[in-house]
Amino acid sequence: MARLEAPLVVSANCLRSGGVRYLDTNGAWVRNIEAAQVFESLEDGAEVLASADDEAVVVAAALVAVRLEKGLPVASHYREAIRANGPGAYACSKPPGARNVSL
Amino acid sequence: MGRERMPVQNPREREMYRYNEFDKAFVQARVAQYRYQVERRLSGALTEEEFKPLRLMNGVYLQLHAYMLRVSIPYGTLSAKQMAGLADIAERWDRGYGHFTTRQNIQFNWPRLVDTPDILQALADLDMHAIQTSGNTIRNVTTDHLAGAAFDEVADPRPYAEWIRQWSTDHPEFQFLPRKFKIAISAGATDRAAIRAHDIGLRLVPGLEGVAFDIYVGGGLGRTPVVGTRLFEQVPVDALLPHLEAIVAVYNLAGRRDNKYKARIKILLQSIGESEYINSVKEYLKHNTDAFDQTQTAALEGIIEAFSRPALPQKEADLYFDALDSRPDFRAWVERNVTPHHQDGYASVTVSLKAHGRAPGDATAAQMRALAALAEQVGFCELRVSHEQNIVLPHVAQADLLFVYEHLRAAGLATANIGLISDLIACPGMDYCALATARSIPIGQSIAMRFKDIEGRLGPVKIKISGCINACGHHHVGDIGILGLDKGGVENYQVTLGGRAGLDTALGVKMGPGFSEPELMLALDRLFDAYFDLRESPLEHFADAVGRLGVEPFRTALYGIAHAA
Repeated sequence: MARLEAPLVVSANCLRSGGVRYLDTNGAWVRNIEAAQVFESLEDGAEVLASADDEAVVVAAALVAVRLEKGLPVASHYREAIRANGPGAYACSKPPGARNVSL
Repeated sequence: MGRERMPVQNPREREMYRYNEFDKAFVQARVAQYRYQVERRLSGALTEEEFKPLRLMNGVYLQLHAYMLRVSIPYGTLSAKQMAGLADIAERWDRGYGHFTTRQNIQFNWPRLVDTPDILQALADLDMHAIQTSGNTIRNVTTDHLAGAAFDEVADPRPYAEWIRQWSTDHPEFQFLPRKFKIAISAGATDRAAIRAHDIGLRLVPGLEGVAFDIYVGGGLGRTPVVGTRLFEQVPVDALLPHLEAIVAVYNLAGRRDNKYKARIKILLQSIGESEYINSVKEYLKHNTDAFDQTQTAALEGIIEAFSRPALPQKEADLYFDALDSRPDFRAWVERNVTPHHQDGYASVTVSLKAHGRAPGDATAAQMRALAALAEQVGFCELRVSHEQNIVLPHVAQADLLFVYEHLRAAGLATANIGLISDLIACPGMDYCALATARSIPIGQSIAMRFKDIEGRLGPVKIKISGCINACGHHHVGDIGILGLDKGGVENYQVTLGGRAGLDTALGVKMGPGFSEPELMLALDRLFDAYFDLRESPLEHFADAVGRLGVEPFRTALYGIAHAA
């Protein structure tokens, strides 16, 4: 994995559901990477990561490199793009009657 | 459905081990224990560091997008009721599908942690569990997906696999081995369980008294692929468990724990040498053989009884033979997906989970129910998962094959491609797996679609795709192996040629620099053009042509060297 370089966002997985989350500017964990707070330095990101890593809410919190498109963060590595957008290999559509699982 | 008829139902379930009261109590107790562990994690009484090994011991991983639950399917054998139950779980707690794996298990990719205790309870009610599907312990014992039906087997290996499952489950000494430990067992003249790619591979052979075991040790793929070596021959049945215990115990004591990449038994074997390892095992056997008394042998007899093989009823098969003549689509499916059975008038059906463009190994809940219904109606309530990520109906009367085919067609499961290029295996890769370095499922989908129109002409080709060096897609033993890596932030796919599983297992030869996905497709175009040019006849399969000519002409084609010159 390449060395982390700014800009960065803080990401994690929701403890209860496992779903991907991003830390926004209000300190809330949200689903959309575009709403994530962007840090312009590794030091700033690491400081917020340390304070936001609340085990009661999320797991596997980490800094994630992004690039900015129209001022909004977009995952810069394909791994994070897949985390942000879901698997590109959705083989099976949800059968009729199946319950939605919201992560 | 054309000339469909309802087959005579045979409600008798056969050839399966059923949980006894001990098994049921054990699994139910584990569910209760796990539920309390989840409660304590959610309340904050357990930290993630404390909780993680506990959830992993129950098959619950955290992957890229969600938790993943890996459910054990012992030796790949499922009842119709269990398959239907898995469909219920997929719909109620997941996203309506499950993924059958290269170790004959099933994974659910989207469960919520808060739901996992209920899922494990549902599994326990089906006599199933997720114990030892993770962690550094003895994992699900895998075997031939045609076991008990194959015409070439010495004995049904599943009773021995069940015996080993009972010995290894919650084994107090082997819950914290240096690394995970995989055992496979095969009994056919052809090894369909890839036993030499396992930490221990067992081969049932004719013995002086009934059957005996040849024991291969130290196989495994991953970042250091090694072909297992036969260290013990003609081990009598009553000496099997002492041998397994000694082999694992010596590894447990001497295996490295300081470096996870050097911790598998294959590394220990390379490090101390075969003779010292064998001597250590023999020394251990002096002390542990007495610990195994007649109780274990008596237990095995009970298990063998549970897998008893009564004669299957004969059925009039005129309709089947008529359909072979009149239905080319049916005939093509039979030729590819149906295997001879040890009993005349019967066959084993391999149901492809590789419809072109679909994710290898995925089945929707509706498809799982269709398979369960077929097993119940004409398959003696039994199904198998193959390590090549397909489903097998092991015992189907020829007279019922058309019925099976029509129902599979209705369920989108009648793809006639077993053994062809689209019948590839692929690990979940980076679409799901937290360890992956590249995607593998989309590569498989692209290959299946790209070569769909020529796959009949290509003939049998085994493509195996892994999304990282851990090799869950068994790429080292594919005719064509594809390994996805991260090269400077870009997916890059290395190709190996000439690998094979089976008793003559060989590791594929790495061809050279990797390819991007588009480049890989073009490289495969050139590779297959070369194969068409170089093969002696259409009867010479791809693997045979590589074996006869060596990899060099195919390496040249892969990189387009002739074209570049």
